[in-house]
Amino acid sequence: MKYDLLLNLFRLNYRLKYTSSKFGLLWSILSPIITLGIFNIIFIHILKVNITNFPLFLFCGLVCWTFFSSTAVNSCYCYLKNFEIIQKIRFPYHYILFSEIILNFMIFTINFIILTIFSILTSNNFSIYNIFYIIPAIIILILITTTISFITSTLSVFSKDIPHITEIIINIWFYATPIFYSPTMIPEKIRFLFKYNPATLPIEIIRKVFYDKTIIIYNSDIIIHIIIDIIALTAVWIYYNKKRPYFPEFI
Amino acid sequence: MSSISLKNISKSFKLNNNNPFNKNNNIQKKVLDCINFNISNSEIVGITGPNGSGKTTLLKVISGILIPDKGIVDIQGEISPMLDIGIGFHPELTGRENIILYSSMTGNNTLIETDIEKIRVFSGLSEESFDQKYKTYSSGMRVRVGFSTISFLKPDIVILDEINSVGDINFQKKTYDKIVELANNSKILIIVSHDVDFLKKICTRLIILTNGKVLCDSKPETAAYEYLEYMKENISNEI
Repeated sequence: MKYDLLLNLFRLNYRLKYTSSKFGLLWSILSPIITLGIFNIIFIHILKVNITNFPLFLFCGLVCWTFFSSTAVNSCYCYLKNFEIIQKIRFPYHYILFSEIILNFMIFTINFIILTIFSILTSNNFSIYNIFYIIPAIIILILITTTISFITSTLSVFSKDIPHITEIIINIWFYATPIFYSPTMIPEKIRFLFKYNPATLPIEIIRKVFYDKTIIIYNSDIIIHIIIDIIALTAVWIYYNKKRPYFPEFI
Repeated sequence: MSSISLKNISKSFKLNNNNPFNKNNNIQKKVLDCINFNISNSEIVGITGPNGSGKTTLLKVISGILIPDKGIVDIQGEISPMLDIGIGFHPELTGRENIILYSSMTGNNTLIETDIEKIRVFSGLSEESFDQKYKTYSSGMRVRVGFSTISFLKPDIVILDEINSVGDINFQKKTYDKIVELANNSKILIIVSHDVDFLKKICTRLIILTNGKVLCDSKPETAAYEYLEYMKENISNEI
């Protein structure tokens, strides 16, 4: 790992995104909280859903989802907005992507702390034991986010349609993920449609820890999930390395 | 020991057909056609040729930025190209930040403040303009900062594209001295320029490129003479 390069690219990325805005990073932190407010009004006051402490239930899903979706969408542009350097000098381009993921992860961490405080404040039986389940949930979240970001960023270099397609897919994916509903609410008939969504498990674990506060027992699911994620990430990494030499020509 | 070896390098580009009267959608332009040459340690090689002869493409292939369709590129040594008067600086960063980023991209050791100060002084930029965003720099300033950075980092292989076309006389003199100094440290230098007299003065070898092919590769005087003869023959086509 070239930490120097990573740090410098992180600074560049941060600057490209936030320097000219007054509140900078705050906008990104506010994004899930604003969505939370809107969804609250719609689901509690208009649709009148029957879920106790719905804001906390929703926020568990939103925090994870915002990290996943904004990283996937922002990654589409991460090479494109640095074309000046990619066209002139050869270096490990994926460090640009890493800096993008790290920046989004930072925002996720801040939101995660807000979630933790929110969870402790709104209920009392918070089990320390369950805290350890957060680690595999975050590992899964990082693995799937990195995999998807590798795909969207690499493809975007070669086809400028990919950012648009990504936004549409992410939009559909949002509704296919149990964020404002619970997986048990899905009717048996169409449950197969939702079964293989990789984003479900980390959200469910985090919701179990912060919302249900029950002890989780599906250890084998977690291990299988992580193994599949690592295989997928390896495949994507190989694909990226095949395409990497052609970046300067097609960007 | 650094060296460059090119064997049968060919490269063509697919062009978009933007002419509505032409129905042919597969326009291929052959930019490099079977290029062969070797460059070894402490050579200063000049490359010249008419516009559109493939000089910059050739430099990009040597730098590993473009992958040739055919042929083998074998490069020994660390390489820093300066293409189209830029070395890969980001427009949104200042000169100082760009130098720090650049040195980490090329895998050099972290530069300390005095190193950057040396680069700035050599470039001749004032401290205020040095700390402005790179996108505000004039082309002269870009060349100055770019060349200063490369000559400070001293990579094994230095590639300079059109360096003396925008710098002023004083900076050209400085560049000349620095190039000689770099060459004495047994580095490979490749200089692309339209200034044949400049190349004759500084190079140990001159390669003439026309239509993606090597027209001549020999001593600067011989090659320069052949190039001028070639251009004389072709002047009638231009008029």
